[in-house]
Amino acid sequence: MTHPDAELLLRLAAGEVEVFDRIVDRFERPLVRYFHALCGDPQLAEDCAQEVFVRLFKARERYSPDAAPNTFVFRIAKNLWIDVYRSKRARPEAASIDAGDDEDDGDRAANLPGPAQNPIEALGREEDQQRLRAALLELPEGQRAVLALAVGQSMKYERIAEILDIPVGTVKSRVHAAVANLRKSMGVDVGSGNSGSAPGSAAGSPSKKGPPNA
Amino acid sequence: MNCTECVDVAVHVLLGQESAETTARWHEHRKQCSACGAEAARLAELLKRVRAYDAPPTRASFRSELRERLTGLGYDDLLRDARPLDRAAARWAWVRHRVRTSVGVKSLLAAAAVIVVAAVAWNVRDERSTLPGELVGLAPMEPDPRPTPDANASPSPSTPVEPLPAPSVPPRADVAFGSADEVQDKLLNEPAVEATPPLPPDVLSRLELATERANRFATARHLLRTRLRGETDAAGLTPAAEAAMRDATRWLLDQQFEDGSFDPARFEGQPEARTGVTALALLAMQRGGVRGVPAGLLAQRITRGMDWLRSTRDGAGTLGAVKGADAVTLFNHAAATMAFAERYVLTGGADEALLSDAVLRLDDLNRLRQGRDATDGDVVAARFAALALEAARSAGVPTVLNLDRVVAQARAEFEGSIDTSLIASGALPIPQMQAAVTAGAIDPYYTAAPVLRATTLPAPTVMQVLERPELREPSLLFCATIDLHARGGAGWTTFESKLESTLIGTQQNNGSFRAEYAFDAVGRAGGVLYETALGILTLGVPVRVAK
Repeated sequence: MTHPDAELLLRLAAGEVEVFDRIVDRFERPLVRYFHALCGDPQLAEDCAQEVFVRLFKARERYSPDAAPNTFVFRIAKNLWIDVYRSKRARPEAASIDAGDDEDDGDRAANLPGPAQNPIEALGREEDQQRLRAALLELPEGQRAVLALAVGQSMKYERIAEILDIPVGTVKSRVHAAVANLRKSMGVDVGSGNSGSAPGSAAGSPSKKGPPNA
Repeated sequence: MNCTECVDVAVHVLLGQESAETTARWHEHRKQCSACGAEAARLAELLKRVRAYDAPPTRASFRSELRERLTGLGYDDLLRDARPLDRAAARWAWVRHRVRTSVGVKSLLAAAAVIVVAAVAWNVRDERSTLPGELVGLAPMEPDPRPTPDANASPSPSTPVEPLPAPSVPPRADVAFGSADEVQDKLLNEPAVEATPPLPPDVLSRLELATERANRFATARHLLRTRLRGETDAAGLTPAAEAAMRDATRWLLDQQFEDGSFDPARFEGQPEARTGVTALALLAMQRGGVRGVPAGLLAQRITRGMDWLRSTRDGAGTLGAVKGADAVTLFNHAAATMAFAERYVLTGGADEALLSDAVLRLDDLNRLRQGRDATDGDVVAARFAALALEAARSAGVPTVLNLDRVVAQARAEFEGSIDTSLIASGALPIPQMQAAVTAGAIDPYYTAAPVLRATTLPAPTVMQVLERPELREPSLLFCATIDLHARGGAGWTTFESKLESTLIGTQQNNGSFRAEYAFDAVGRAGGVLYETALGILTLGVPVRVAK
C-alpha cells in the first residue's frame, strides 16, 4: 500500500489538482511549525510555508514514489530556507527583535491568555516561551534545523539525514550538541547540575545533581 | 549500561530513535541509578518544552493568500477543468453539436420522438379505458352502449331499463350526531379512551436509574476525555513506554488504507479479521495524547476508520460478520462495539442507535455461541465480548439490557463456576483453558475475569501471564494489566516494570509488536496489526483505564 500522503502527491502529479487542498491540510501545520522553530517569527513562518506550497505545486510532476512524502516536502522547505532567507541573512535577526510584539493581528487573539486562565500562570508560560525562543534562536543554524525536525516533527534521524543531506552520525551529534546548548542557555530547572527554580517552570521537578561520571 | 553510556544515549532514547534493546537497557539503568533517573527526568522535561514550542494558530487568511499566489500558476484553470460537472457540461455541448450537424441523427431523433408521442397517446387511451364509468363519460372514446335514462324516451319492450345502482354512501342525515354533552360522555366512556394506564409500580425507580445513568454518562465522558487527552499529567507513562507507543502508533498510521481500514492479511494475519483489527487500531490511535503524532492527523484518520467500520454492518446488525467463523465474527463485532462505545463517549453521543443495536447483537452472538461446544478462538472472542460489554456499560450506552446486571451476573457465575484450584496451581495455559471451557469447567463468557474485576484471582496468578511465554496472548495481557492496575500497590509496580520490558522487548525496529505465544483463531487472523494495536492499548492502560 502506498502511504496516504504519497498517494496524494502521486495524484497531484498525475494532474488531480483537487487533492492539493488536502495536501495543504496535511502539511500546513508541520511546515509553519518547522519555520517557526527556525526563525521564531510566526508571520515569516507562514510566508515560508506558503512559498513551499507554491514550489510544491510547481514541482508537482517531479514527485517520485521512491521518496517518502515527508522527505519530498521538507527538502523543498530546507532549500527554500537556504535559498531565500538564509542567503539574505536579514530577516531572521529582524524577526528575533520584533516578532511576538503587539503587532499581531486579530487571528492571533486565540493565543492570548483568556479570562478563564490564571493570569499569573499564563504570564509564567509566556515568559517561559520567550526564554525558550531566545535559546533556540541562539543555537547554530544546523543544530536548530535538526532539533526542529527531530523534536518538533518527531522524525527519524535517517529521514532527517535525507532531508538535510548530511550523514546520520552528524544528525545525532547535532541533536546532542543542540540539547546541551539549550540546557546551557536555559540553565536552572532543566540544567545538568545547577539548582534553583525558574519562574513559571513546571511544578514538582526536583533539582538534583547530575550523574557524577557524565 | 553504565552512567556514561546512559547519558550519551538518553536524548536519543527519549526521542524514540534507539533500538528496543538499547531502550530497554537504558530504562533498566535509569531505574536503578537515581542520579541518571533524575537526569533523564530533567532531559525529558526540556524535550517536552521544546516539543510544546509551536507557532500560534495559522491566520485565517492563509488559504486565500496561498490561493492568490497559486492563481498565477494556472491552479484555478486546472481545477476548473478537473471538475466533473464541467466535464459533463463539455460532453453535453459536444452531443448537441453532433446533433446539429448530423442529418442521420436528426432523422433518428425525429423517429424516436414520433414513437414516444405514439406510445404516450396509446398509454393515455389505455388508462382512460380503465377509469370508472362516470369519468370516462366526460369524454367518451366510444359511444356508451347503454341507453341514456331519458324521461321522454319510452323504453323499448325488448330492453328493460336497468335500475341505477344504489348509492354506496348513506346520506348524511342517517348519521346520528348527538349533542355536545352526549358526544363527550360517549368519548369518555369508550373503553379505548380510558388510555392513561396506571404507572408501573417501579416507574419511579426506573426514572431514578435513568437519571443516575445520565449523570454517570456525563462523568464517564468527562473522565475519559481527560484521560485520552493526557491531561491528568504525563500520567504514569514512562518515557520508554511513551516512545514505544509513539513508534507503534506511527507504524499503524502507515498501514491504514485510504478507506480507513487496516488489512491484517498484509502482516501475517487473515482478511476475515479486518473489522476487528481496524477497530482495535482505531482504539489504539484514539489516545490523543500520543506525543509526537499530530492530533489533527489522528482525528482525521480515526474519523475515516469509523466511517469504514460503520459500512461493515450487515442486515442483522453484526459488524464484520464472517461466514463459518463464529469466533472471528464475535471478535470483529465486539472490537467494533468497543470502538463505537469509546467514540460515543468522546463525541457526546455519536451513533447512539447503531451502538444500542450493536450491544444487543453482541449479547445475541454471545448467547448463540454459548449454546455449543467451544471452538478455537472462543476464549479470546469471549474476552472481547466481555470487554465490549464493560465498555458499553461504562459509556452509559442506552440499551434495553441491564448491563449492570449482565456484568454482575457474569462475575457471580464466574466466581461460582470456575475451578479455582486449576487457576491457583497456575496451570492455565491457553490450550488447557480451552479444554476447561469445552469440558464445561469454565464458561468462556467469563474468562475475561480481570475485566470483570473478579478479585478471587490472586495477583501473583495474574502476573503469570508475563512470566509464562505461552500465556502472553495479547488480549489476556491487556486484561491482566487492567486488573493489576486497578488493584494498584506494590503488585502493580512490579508488574508494570516487567510488563514494559516484556512488551517493549517484542517491539520490532519498525515500531510494530511481534511475540511468540500460543496462537488461537483470533490471534492467527489478527496477525501483527492485532498485536501492535493491543500492545499500544496495554502500555496505555495507566492513562486510558480508570482505577
